[in-house]
Amino acid sequence: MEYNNPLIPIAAIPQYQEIPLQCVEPDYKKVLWFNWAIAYLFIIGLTVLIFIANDNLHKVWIISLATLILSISIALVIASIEIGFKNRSWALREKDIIYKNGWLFQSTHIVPFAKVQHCILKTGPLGRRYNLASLRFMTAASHQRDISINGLSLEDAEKIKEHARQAI
Amino acid sequence: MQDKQFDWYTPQKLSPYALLFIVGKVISQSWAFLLIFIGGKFLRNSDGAAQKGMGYFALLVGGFILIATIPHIIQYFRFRIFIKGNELIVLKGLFTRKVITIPINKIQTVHAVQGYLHRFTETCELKIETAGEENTEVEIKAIDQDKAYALQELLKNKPVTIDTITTAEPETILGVGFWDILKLSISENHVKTFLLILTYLLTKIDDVKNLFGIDTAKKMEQEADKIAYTTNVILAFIVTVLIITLTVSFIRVIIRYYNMKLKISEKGFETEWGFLQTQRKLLIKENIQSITWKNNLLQKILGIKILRIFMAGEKLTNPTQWIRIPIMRERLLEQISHIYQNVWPSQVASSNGIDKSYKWRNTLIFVTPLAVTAAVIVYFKSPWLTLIPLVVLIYFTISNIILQHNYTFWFHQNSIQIVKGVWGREQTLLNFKNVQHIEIKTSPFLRAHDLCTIILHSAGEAPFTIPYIPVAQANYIANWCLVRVEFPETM
Repeated sequence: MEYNNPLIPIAAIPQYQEIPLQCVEPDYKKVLWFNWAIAYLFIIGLTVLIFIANDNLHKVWIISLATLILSISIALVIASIEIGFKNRSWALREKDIIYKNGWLFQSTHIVPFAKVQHCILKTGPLGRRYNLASLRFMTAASHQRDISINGLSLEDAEKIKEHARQAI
Repeated sequence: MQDKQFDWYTPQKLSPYALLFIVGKVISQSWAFLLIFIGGKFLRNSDGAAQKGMGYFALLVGGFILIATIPHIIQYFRFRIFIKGNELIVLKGLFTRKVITIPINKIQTVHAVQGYLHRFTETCELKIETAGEENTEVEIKAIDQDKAYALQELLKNKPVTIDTITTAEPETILGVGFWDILKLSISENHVKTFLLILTYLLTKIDDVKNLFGIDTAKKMEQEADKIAYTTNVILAFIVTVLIITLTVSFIRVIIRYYNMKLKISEKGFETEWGFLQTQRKLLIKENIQSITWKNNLLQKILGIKILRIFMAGEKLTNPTQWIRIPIMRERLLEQISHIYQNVWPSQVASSNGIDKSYKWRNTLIFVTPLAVTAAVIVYFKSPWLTLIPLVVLIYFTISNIILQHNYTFWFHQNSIQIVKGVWGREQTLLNFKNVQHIEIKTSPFLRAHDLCTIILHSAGEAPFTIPYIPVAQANYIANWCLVRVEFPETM
């Protein structure tokens, strides 16, 4: 058996980490605020109903604890929207797409177009109002580990989709 | 290899024996009704009214089975499978005609399963899988054995031609004999077997209670109270449990590895195994996503490794379809892995480890809070019981230290290899060309220490994760991987 392991200079290969990333559309923050506001209105409403219906919960320490948990979770969501928004960024290269997201726990995804089985462009009612769309790239990776890039402008999403279609 | 050749361009029907399997399947799906019916007959035969009720119930069960069988029978008559051009066409459907078209080059695995009923009727269950679907794309309950094997051969040779079957005999490189079975049984995970038996018994106790209204657990408790617990009784109980566990382990090994054969050819592997149910699977080398070999402490002592080959499109949740090959000699492992990756990174590249913080972070973040909470809860029951969470905490602390120490990986231009494990060892080999999607994760702690976790997703395995490595190293691996996927001509 012949062993070989030639040295390849690091400068000779493309560096994904040096690519400047582009933030998603600022209007997407409004969509996030709206979605979370709806979700929390529902959660708070449900919590209040449970507390009204159940006399056993009418204790100061239980009410304080529930309020504290809700306040902390709301604060975390606000921080993740406000601070984490700038991390929602993407970059398109000829042969792959890079997407970064997260606030405390950040993730960078790189999906080569050669491995994309198909991609889906989605628009929601609120997104359409702000001319926003999301793109989902599906590969053959097990456990359905696909990536969705939300908050793209509809024009950008269509251009990326077309580029991906040609590259697949 | 095959004596008979079939014209797969002509639509092929299911075997007439498939009707038997259809009826069998419907009956097996109605087992709960049948059990209630039989149980009711035995337990309440003195009551006339109840007997009359059971008569109606029998009619109801019979009617249900009949109605449930009809759609399957219609589907049986409408089913056709054939090859047209370079596509495998399946026609089926109940009221509407459903046409499944699979490009032959997209087929990842063809799995022929033969239970004892299949063997008796000389038929096979055939499963055809592609990478795009999580579930099996085409499942044929019973097709003539010769037709199934001919189709397997035909699809194996698809890159060359789909018209003829080549007669090149693959070389048999593995056969599992009686002594191998014995060695594998001894080294089986007996704790897992014991837990499986326990879970099975607990569910059965629950079933008996639900179906017949007999509180089996209470009855057992009453009987247990009558026993005088002497040292001999306890010893006899332990020995009995041990014998049952060992016997079940032996049976599990026989079912999994009995009569296992592995043949190797230029195109890949061909495996055959099974005791009551013979399974035959083709592993085309282009579809192999990654390979893993592992052993527990006993297997390590006995020099056994269990090799798993992950194929694209394999149903990960169905262990009966997994390809597990017992490796009794190192040479065989090299021979098998050579077809996937001829040079292991560990043979040519320097080794790398993960950051030392991994051992205490795991213990501190996950194990300690759970152990402390459990200790506080059990303290109020009995202070002595706090020893249990304490022992668990010590065990996991030591385990995490050993795990971090043993975690080693190597990489070169084409692939990456990982060794990990606490008491046993698990090695994984992944060719970069099989990576579908790369993920790099960080947390505030990891960012502060310039570390990250890299996850390489492939089509045939749970994600390939290397935790707590320097960011520069993760970027290097990611960039190399992308070069291999995006510029295959450079390989």
